[in-house]
Amino acid sequence: MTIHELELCIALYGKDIYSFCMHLTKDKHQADDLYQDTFLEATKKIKQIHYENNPKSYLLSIAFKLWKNHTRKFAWRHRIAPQTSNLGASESVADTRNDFFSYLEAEEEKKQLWEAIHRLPENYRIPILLYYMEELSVSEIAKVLMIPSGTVKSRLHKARKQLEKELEGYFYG
Amino acid sequence: MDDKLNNLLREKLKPDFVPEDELNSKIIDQVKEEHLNMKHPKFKSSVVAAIMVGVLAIGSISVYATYHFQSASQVVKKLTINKSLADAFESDQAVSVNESQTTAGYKVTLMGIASGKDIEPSLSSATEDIDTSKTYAVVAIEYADGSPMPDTKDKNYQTFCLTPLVNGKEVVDDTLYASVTPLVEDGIQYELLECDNLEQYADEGVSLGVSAFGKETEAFQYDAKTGTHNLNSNYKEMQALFELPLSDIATGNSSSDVAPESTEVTTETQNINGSSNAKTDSDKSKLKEKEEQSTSVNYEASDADIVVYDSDDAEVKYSVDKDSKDCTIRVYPANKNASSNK
Repeated sequence: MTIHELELCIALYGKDIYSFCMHLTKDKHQADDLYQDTFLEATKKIKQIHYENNPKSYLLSIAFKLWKNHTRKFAWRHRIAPQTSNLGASESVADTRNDFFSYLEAEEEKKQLWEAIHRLPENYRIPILLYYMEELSVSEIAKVLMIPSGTVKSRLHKARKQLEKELEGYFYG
Repeated sequence: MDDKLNNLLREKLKPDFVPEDELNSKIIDQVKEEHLNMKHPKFKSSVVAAIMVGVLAIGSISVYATYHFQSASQVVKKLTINKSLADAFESDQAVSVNESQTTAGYKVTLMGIASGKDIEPSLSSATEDIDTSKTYAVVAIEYADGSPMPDTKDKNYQTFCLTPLVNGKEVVDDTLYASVTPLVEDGIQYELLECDNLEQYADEGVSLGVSAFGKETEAFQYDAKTGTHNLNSNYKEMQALFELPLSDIATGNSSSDVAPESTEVTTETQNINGSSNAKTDSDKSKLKEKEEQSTSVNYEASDADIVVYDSDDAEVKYSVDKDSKDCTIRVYPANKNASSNK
């Protein structure tokens, strides 16, 4: 990928990718790192980025894979050394959760919605983010997450059911 | 589907976070530096010349190999006339993985996996009794330097072992009736694994080990403390270990791009002593089939709901009335999750 192509990718998709990274990690520092690693990884995969029909979904898939690897390694370290105090990710998520929502300079209504979404299990939250925030189709989401389309539809459905329960009375009827 | 919620989500969920300019500049600067280092490597000129010759030679072979790199479905079509198996690899029943690991001069790629009850007949069975509940995986093995793998008829032809490794089971004896069918095409060796359906172990977690034939006990180690299988760091020959995304294999829904609006629920009440008031014979047989397929059933004289996820994609919920001993059975189509008894 040339520097010009990289700059173009960042200009076109930077906000989308960064928002996804923020909602995945719920931590600005981790999001910054994940965002940076995503583009650096993308620059190594020259042919794919050229011939992908949807560069944005390709970049999102890289971000997701990097995040999954990171959480898997962290879970492994946590499992074999639970007595250590530098539990890193989970503590930073807990500590910065309030900070994360303070980044959302949004009206109260939107914050309530985001909080409900962040209460969803990760398996449901990520398809919701990709479908509504990133406006990907079900089949694109399936490719990003490397799961069957049927599973994507099922998770979207369950996520919506849970959100309906949480938000009823607040946003509507 | 609730349109209000759908509209609300579409309207309110926008990418709100903007990366700082400094962060973007840092990325661009880093890539610029990498490009610069690639153009002006700090090596002696003779070494540079040798590397360039090597890269040109290897590069051309690698391009050749990459060009002929096939999809899992294409590999299956070459290996068998089993159309449903090839179709399964192109369907929602399959997961395209395409994860590569480089080990001891080899590049090993897990291309994809597929599981299902409706893939028939099984690859290796020539008999009438065909077990359709199988998992299939396609692995590609090539030399990391791009030179071609020996053909199956070549005296230097190599045999490899694909071993499903279930977390919590020490195993290697229980190979889950795994069999492997090889294909060498355009210098790449493909292996098609067929074994007992691994979805039943999705909750425990399953890895796929790839090693030279007969070396699986040396190549991989079982950690009794964590229940996981890992690469043996003392083993220096070819070894690759892939985690299988089994919990993500599910039977596909319709091709419509919309999530299902409602789940179909059937309710029956069956006396715990065996009588049933199922409405029709087909309902009775459907329930019976689901019960038989359940991984565990516990008729307890309590009023707790007991949820079992059967091998189909249905959630079967039993609730038992203490006094009458009536057991109400509700069946919900759902994806398989962890089964639990409350």
